Amino acid sequence: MVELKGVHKRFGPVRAVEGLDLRLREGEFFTLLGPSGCGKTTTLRLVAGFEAPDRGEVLIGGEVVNPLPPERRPIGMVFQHYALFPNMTVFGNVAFPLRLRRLPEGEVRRRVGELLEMVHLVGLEGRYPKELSGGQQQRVALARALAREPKVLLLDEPLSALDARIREELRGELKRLQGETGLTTLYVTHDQEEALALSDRIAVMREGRLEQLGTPKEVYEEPATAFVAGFVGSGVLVPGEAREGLFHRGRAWPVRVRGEGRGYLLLRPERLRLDQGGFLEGRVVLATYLGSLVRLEVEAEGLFLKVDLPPEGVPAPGERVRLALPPEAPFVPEGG
Amino acid sequence: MRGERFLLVPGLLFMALFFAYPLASILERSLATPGGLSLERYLRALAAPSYLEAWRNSLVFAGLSTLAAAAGGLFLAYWTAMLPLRPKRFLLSLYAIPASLSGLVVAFGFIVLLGRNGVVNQLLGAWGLPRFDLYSWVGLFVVFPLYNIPLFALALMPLMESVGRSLMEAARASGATPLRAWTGVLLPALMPGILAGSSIVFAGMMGAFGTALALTGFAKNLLSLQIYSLVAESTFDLPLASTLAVLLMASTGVGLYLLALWERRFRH
Repeated sequence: MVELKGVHKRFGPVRAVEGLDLRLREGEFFTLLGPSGCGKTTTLRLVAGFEAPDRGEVLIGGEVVNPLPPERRPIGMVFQHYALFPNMTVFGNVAFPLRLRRLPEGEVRRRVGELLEMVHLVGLEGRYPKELSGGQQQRVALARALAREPKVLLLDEPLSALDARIREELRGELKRLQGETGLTTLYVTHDQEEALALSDRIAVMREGRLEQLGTPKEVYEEPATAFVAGFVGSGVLVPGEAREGLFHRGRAWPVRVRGEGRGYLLLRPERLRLDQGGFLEGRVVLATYLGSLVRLEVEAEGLFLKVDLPPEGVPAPGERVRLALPPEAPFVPEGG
Repeated sequence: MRGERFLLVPGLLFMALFFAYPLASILERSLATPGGLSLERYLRALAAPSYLEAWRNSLVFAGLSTLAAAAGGLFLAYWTAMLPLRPKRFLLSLYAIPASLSGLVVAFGFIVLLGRNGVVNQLLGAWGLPRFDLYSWVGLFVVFPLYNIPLFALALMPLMESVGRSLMEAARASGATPLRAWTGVLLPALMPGILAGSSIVFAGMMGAFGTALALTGFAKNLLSLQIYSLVAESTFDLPLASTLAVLLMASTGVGLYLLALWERRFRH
């Protein structure tokens, strides 16, 4: 549905996107994930038509759109800071794309009504953006983006300006809406939790390049590189070696790994347990209460490992504990 | 809390001394006659064709120049707002210069550029094209807007920076051509800033005389020049100058009030 072929883009000396190849499937929720400056927003803007690639092609619906300005591309876009038209009401904002298409006023009314129903804003037609909460404003922006009946919906960190509770609520709405409309969606975020919760597939980007492409489960459970392992989810990378199916760090650890050679074992906090007969012995350094769980930091064999535990009967800092390792864990080869 | 009121005292004193007192004394002078306070001078000023013409010229000239400066400043502000941070900061510091220069310096700058032997006219002459007359109404109408464009752009900048790019992009992503995005979205959204910038420029141009004086002497009939001549020339007449000054301030005030009323309509 959307395709990038060998796309390059630089801004002066900065290489924002370097040789990117991507292909979104019809109806897919596709997320570009990465830290700021990784090129994810530039990629989105290349698809939207706000930036032109130095090299390579951008295709939407099988058509090369390189020469087309944004208004002639079949896109709908939602911006981080809503970008609602301040001089227009909610109705006017959502009607704007429809009126540009010169639809008869009755048709405009009907469509706006439908769209506002979809985003649960019926009754607020006459309000101005200033009179709405952040969450409501972003719903208007979403309705406006959908009004164009785009082939692809582009979302540029649409939840990052909202506070936590609204963010989670709107995240659910977004997922539901995308499912209902079946609209191919390109989503940009730096928030790995958001990416995992929403996406069919995630492209992790770093310094203008694709670091890994996969389902949320793949990216989380089988990170291809140390960067992905560190960026998605939390966990500690233990340097060592994979040999004959086991991880070695001085001696063989009872952890099955795939691969061979030097690299890192990824130990996620939820996969470690306290156990009298555990393989590693260590000392609790820090216990952080997080509500639904307590995160321990345990020093063992020169490593600082993180362990998530239910909040009852947690050992105090200074106590000695033994840690049981998971039977198998992700292994990231060195240089990846 | 009550103590905080005393913090206002220096400000109020300053305003009283340097604003209210001179204003009151101008007003008093304009009304004082040997037989007590009277509107006699106002009637005389409004009955004199040359003062009426000066008044009308000033209003029309300042109004048209404001329009021109607004049009130019709008695009300058948009273009500047789209630049990366470093060149933008540099340019914005440059934009402050014309407004802070004396009107005379501005005039001499334009004489070098557009005067009879200025760079532009030498080029025009070399190409056999008609020369540009800086010392005419057209000349004034080029110079005044030109040096007010950066000032207008500066006044509009905060609003332009906060909404310019994002609204333009939102409109285009909604299917609007650049022209539709400007007329349908950007201009209405920027209107409060446009009117605020226009107020600053209009007030400045109503009172400006240094540049006009340097370029055209007293040949062009502007209210500010009439006042200047009554204060500084052989026609010295302080009470009449005060009367014209009050008229100038009042008409500027009315202009600004109308702009403010208009601006309120755009505050949603």
